[in-house]
Amino acid sequence: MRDFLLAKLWHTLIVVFCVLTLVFVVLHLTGDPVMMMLPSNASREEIDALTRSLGLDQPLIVQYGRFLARVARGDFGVSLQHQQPAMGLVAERLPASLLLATTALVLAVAVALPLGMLAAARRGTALDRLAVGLAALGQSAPIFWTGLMLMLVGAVVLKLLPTSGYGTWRHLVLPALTLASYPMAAMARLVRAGMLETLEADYVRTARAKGLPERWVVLKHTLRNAAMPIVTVVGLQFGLLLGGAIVCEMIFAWPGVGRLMIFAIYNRDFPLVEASVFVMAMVFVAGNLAVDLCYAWLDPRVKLRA
Amino acid sequence: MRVGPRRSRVPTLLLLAAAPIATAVICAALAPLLAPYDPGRGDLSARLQPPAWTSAGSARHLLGTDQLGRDILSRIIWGARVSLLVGVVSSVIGGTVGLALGLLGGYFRGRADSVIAKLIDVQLAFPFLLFAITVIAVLGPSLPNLLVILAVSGWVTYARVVRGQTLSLRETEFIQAARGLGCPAWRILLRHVLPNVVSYALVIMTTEIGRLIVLESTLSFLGLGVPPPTPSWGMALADGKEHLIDGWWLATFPGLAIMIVVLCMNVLGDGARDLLEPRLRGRRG
Amino acid sequence: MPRTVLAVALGLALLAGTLGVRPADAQDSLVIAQGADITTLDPTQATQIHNLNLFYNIYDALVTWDPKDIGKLVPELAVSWRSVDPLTWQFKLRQGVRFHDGEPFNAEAVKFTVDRLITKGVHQVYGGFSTIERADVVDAYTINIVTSKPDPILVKRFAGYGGQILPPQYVKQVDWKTFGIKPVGTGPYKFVEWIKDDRVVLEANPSYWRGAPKIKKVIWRPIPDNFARVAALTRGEAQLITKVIPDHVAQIEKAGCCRVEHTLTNLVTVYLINAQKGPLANTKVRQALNYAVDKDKIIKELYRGYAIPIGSGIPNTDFGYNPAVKPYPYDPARARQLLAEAGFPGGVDVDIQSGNGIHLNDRQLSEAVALMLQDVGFRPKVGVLEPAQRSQLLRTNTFPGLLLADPASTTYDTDGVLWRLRGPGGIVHQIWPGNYEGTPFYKLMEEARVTLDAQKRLRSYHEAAQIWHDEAPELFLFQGELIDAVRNEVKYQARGDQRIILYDISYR
Repeated sequence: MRDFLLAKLWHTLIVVFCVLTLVFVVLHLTGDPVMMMLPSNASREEIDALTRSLGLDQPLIVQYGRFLARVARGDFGVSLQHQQPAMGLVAERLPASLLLATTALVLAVAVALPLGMLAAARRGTALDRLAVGLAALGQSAPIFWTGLMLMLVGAVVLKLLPTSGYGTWRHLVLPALTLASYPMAAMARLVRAGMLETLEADYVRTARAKGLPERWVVLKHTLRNAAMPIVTVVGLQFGLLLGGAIVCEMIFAWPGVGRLMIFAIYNRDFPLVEASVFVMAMVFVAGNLAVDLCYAWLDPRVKLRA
Repeated sequence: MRVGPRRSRVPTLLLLAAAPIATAVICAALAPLLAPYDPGRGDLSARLQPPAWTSAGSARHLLGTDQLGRDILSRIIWGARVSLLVGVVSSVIGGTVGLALGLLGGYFRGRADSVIAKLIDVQLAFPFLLFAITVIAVLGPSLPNLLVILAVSGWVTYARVVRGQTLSLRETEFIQAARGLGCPAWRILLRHVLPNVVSYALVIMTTEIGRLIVLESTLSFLGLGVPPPTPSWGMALADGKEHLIDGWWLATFPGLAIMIVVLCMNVLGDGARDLLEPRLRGRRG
Repeated sequence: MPRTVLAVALGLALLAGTLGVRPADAQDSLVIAQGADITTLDPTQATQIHNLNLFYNIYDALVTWDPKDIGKLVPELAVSWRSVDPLTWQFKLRQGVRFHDGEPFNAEAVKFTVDRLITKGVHQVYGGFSTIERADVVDAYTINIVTSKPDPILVKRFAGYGGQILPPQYVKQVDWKTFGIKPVGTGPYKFVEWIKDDRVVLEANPSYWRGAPKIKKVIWRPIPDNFARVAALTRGEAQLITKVIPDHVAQIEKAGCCRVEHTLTNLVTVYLINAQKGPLANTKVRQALNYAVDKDKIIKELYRGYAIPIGSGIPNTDFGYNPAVKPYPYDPARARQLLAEAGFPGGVDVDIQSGNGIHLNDRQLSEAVALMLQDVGFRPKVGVLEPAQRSQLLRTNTFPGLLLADPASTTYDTDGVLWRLRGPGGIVHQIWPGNYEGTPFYKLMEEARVTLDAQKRLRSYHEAAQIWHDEAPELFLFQGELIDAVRNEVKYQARGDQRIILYDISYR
């Protein structure tokens, strides 16, 4: 176990280092934050002056070196747009993002699991068809579309919920539903597929033949086996949800890290992008770890090797 | 809970699902012949006209016109090209790469797995949006570049799931036995592991095709999609979002097209999985 | 594990709930929804309108614009001003004004502000004040601003961004960083709190020198999506929203609860033309571009009438506007003829680029213009740029053909809308040889920049406007309107300078 964790740590370090470097290179090569900050009728002199004062006129290697040195100290610098510490800005927004992502994931699993299982159990019936159809609906609408539709129905037409914003549990409902719609649909299908597989497996037939009650058979044997791909997808989804919540946050004016990051990217606000990416990478890595531990718990044959 | 005879039911369903897909393919192939108007030209004075059957609509535009006066039916017919291309080609590329890497990593573990796992994680941790923006900024906005972006976005799912399955399968008595008997690795992978994981990959691929068609729409919403004036269902959906109330037809019809394609792909995927299943049953431990 | 997750989620939700906005008495508070969140509350560090709107209410400047006569200055913290000599302007300051932290407003505060403004490289608004040499305190309520060259628009500069007067004692106590998140000014509203991407809360300053404002509490919310903003308005979650797109106007009016308030601004929408080489270097080709576009149709259909066509890149609100210069008429035959005369009867390849949402309807505009250009023989290629890419192309002057832009002068002066961009040191100086040093255009603009005689300036600018029109270094489109929307119970009028002045807003 200790070896496993150490190896994981090493792996994490390399991954985060690669990501931060890639982000650095990509950001610096494709845009100019100074131009984004100054008004469009700024003169060259002003542009140069601001560039110099931000240290952006140094050769890339020098900037990269400084950047690495700062990061090693845990300092992600000061946001170019806000003149505030970049990591502080991200840390403030993190709880909102986590709240949204967690709620969405919980919702997705809570609906997808029973729905997928029922659909597999009642295979070929109207319920199955309905589930497949709903899954298609959830998967075929882009997030911005689902969000706007839910907003239209839930807030404008039915007047049940606020249209956007943050503050009460009511504000959480529409964005969480929106964010959950795709993973819910994808997971329902995977659960159904996985369950159909294992329902036919020999050992399940054996258990049935032994006369064990259906429900027990279904739950204990099939769930464990079908759980592997589900856990994989859940693990993937969590990281995706944090990053993919960008559109959801924009539509519902939800103050999360995604929205912060995308405006930082648009404005080439290097420190803020780096800080956001770092935090999201860390959350992602934590999710990975959870997934790996789940693998080991679910399938004892998988040894946690380094 | 009874699982009744499946054989007789599946073919009809598959046929039903294949029909819309075939229609889409025909549209894509024969767009210049089928579309009543040039999808890129529009008359500004005729913008936002509702479908023909409504009171304000006219028979000249069956499904109405968009915000620049272009015929929506024509744009949907032509849009099939981009959407199908985007969905299928990107999925296949991504799927092949992901499957291969997932197998290699899951089976061989050790060094190879370590590198592949890092690659997967770097890819996942790197903000996709930034990647899309970069490719477009450096290589320019074009359809091929979009295909690259989407293919890259997808391979990881296959790799992850396939790797997980391969990890499990590797430890089954069956595979252990084969290794013990001296069966070469490539043979084990190809004949024993691959068939067991390919069903998962196929289900994923049918999902992925839909997801990528939809992702194209989200990228269009953010201004990173297919460059104008090429029509695509995804772009039409993004355009339509500003006109939810005064132009519901802008997004509804492309949206329906996407939904039907996704639904049918899902059904076809499940059907394909069913067909593979009997072969699988014999192999499982 | 799931239970813990649920507990954490519930805990976070409850915590979030306590942050909720308890709607105060409906008449006592106002919620305004803008399209983006602010990035700072330091008025020297931002120039976008959604930031500026906060500055205009937390701070005062020496002078401001007359809402009824855009382009005309009215006193604010300065009660009078005059030119003592060609290089010196003297301001007499208002007495009895205090900052929100209690410190007095006086000439020291103005000197402190000006000293900051003329420091290069530490903030973003230097450009507007680069002609200032120094500020001299004459007495507690008199200050002299000395410029390095005669500057006819010096006073106007203080009405634009960066002109907000800063509190010297407060800034010395905290630092500039803290000042950016906890500001203090002399304005009608005091800062209360700022939750990034969620809201900024201001409350009325009861001892404001003009009298206490009518609305006690104002909340600014950033809602990026257009539809979500409109929905917030119609649902009563916001009482005022900005940046309404023309296509949504009908919807808002139909809802019955709300109305739109619109007005002409001084923003002109044009396509900058990179005329350094290739066919676009030929004047006839550029003129052909202008004849090929049916501006009236675009305005009527795409912008629902909320704009007026322009003939030169100068809006009718700015000093120097020449009413005799008419917009190019829509004449596709003439356009084709010009192309043939220029030697391109077979057509010209031209790139048309814009952002996607940076300007109102930008992508659709490019697509519509491309179709019109196609009709006369151009072979247009529409490009959609991401904001930073666009900025880079602009800065390096490497955009291949046409690039959409909306230049505007914050001083309501031709110098600001044209020469700051195109003059020596201007960001797009290079792209049109017609304004290089030595050309008649250059001479006219440079002279006017330093002439104090208003009549002479006007004549120079009129002549320059005609050259500008004839040489067509831009594809001229229109001068746009600003559209806001409010709930019917709110008394509000849109201003041509796009500012939201809370002091002038009240409930019926």
